[in-house]
Amino acid sequence: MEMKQKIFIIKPSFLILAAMVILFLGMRAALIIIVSVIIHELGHLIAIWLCGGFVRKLKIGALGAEIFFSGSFSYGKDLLIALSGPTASLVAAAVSGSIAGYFTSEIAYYFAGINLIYGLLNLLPSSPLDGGRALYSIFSLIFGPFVADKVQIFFDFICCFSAMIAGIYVFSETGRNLTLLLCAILLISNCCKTHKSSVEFRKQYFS
Amino acid sequence: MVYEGKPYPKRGKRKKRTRVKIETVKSGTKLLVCLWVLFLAILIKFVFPSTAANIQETVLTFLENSVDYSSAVRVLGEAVSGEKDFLEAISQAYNYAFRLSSDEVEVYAQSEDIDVVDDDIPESELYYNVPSDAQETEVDKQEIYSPDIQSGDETEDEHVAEQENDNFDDAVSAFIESQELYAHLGVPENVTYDKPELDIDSVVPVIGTVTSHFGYRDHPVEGEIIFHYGTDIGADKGQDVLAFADGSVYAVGDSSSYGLYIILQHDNGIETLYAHLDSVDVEGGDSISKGEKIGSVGDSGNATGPCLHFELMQNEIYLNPEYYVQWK
Repeated sequence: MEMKQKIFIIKPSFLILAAMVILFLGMRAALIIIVSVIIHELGHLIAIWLCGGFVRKLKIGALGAEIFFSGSFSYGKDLLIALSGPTASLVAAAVSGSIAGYFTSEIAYYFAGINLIYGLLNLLPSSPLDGGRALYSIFSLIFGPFVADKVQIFFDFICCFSAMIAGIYVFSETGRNLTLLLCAILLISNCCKTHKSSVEFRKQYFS
Repeated sequence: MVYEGKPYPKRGKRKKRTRVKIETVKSGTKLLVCLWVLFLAILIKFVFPSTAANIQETVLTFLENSVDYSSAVRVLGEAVSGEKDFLEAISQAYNYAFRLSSDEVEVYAQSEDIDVVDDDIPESELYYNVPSDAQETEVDKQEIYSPDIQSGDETEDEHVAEQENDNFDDAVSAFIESQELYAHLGVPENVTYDKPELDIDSVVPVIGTVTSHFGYRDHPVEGEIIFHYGTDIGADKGQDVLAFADGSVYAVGDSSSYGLYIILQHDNGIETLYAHLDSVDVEGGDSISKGEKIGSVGDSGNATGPCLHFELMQNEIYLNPEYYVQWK
């Protein structure tokens, strides 16, 4: 039975984020951020293409974009695909950084900074992020998926917990700054979502 | 081989499972609502820039001394380009992003900023120049240290004027000497180290001691070099701030970095700015006499203590105020 599937989805949280950025940081900042995200996703797409898969769906949320693709992959290729996004970001940061060094262009500095942040952020080992997926692939490769699952839950917990602590610390120190706290909450909710769906998935296929 | 659906839990060679999500009607409405919010945001930003600026101001004021994400990002960019040590950059970025020590950064006008910092002065607060009858008032007998800078004027005070001019010539060379450390950076755009004749009667806007001179100096947070486009004069909070010369009020505003500020327009293309005020006694369009009280000293905005941040411009070029006013 064929179900109608949406190919391109924009989550509402992304639109809210876009509205905030445009209102409070200006169009130029918004554009720089958009270009950085595009570069990051291009990194993923190139790796997917190189590994022989094809993209079936693109989903854009507040934490970034998610690519749904199919193909036959080993865990090794999975790892490559997961890491290619942050690599693209960091490469863009490095290139932009050296341009900024030679030409002292303001935009180049900002671009380098944003790409650095986005690249490093995605390397955090929690499940909705590329770092988490890379972690899963590495552990699956060495120990198999069931161990990898447990390890992933463990790392998710650590990341969410640390993010929460950091958010609370910053909030208490400044008395006002909520951004880190909001990020922590966002991370926690996304981790729960991915775990929920993967648990159901596993129940369906392996019980 | 393209395979979709159930994976095999085989070690090392598991097929990538594809996730199929069927979106429901509920998320459709959510999506629509958020699309409208985004549309509204863009609309506000472009069609009503003043409202957008107001909203920005309110939120930033609520966050107290506006978290400076743009500087945080920029600093990290500098780290990437190799111009800055990573650890230093991280701690500076942290300070900018979370402003743990919000008292430490003064306001420095930067002409090459992108959008983010440009929105500091809300346009709704700016009034356009209302033509007023600018009158040349007589020299006020009350004024103290008032250098009449008029070229080739033969007055009884010439002896005194010359003496003061000498002092100012010293001031020019002293200033240039002080900036020698930064000579490799050159003179910023829209700035001159020269002392052009202003041809205007003026008074000292506030009596106090200079706490921060015009020109290059080390940035309190970053420890790097930045340019100060005006002079900061420390004084008591509530002390009178006087108009530099006759003119009219061009703008009165409130920004997160300048705090409460006034911009006056005078003859000969001269403009003066008074910032970090505690109170403002004038409105846009008012006609002002030299020496008239326009506000009082405060520590609003990013000031390190009660002081007046005073900027002097002629034809939109920043001049060194210390060339024209005697402060101890």
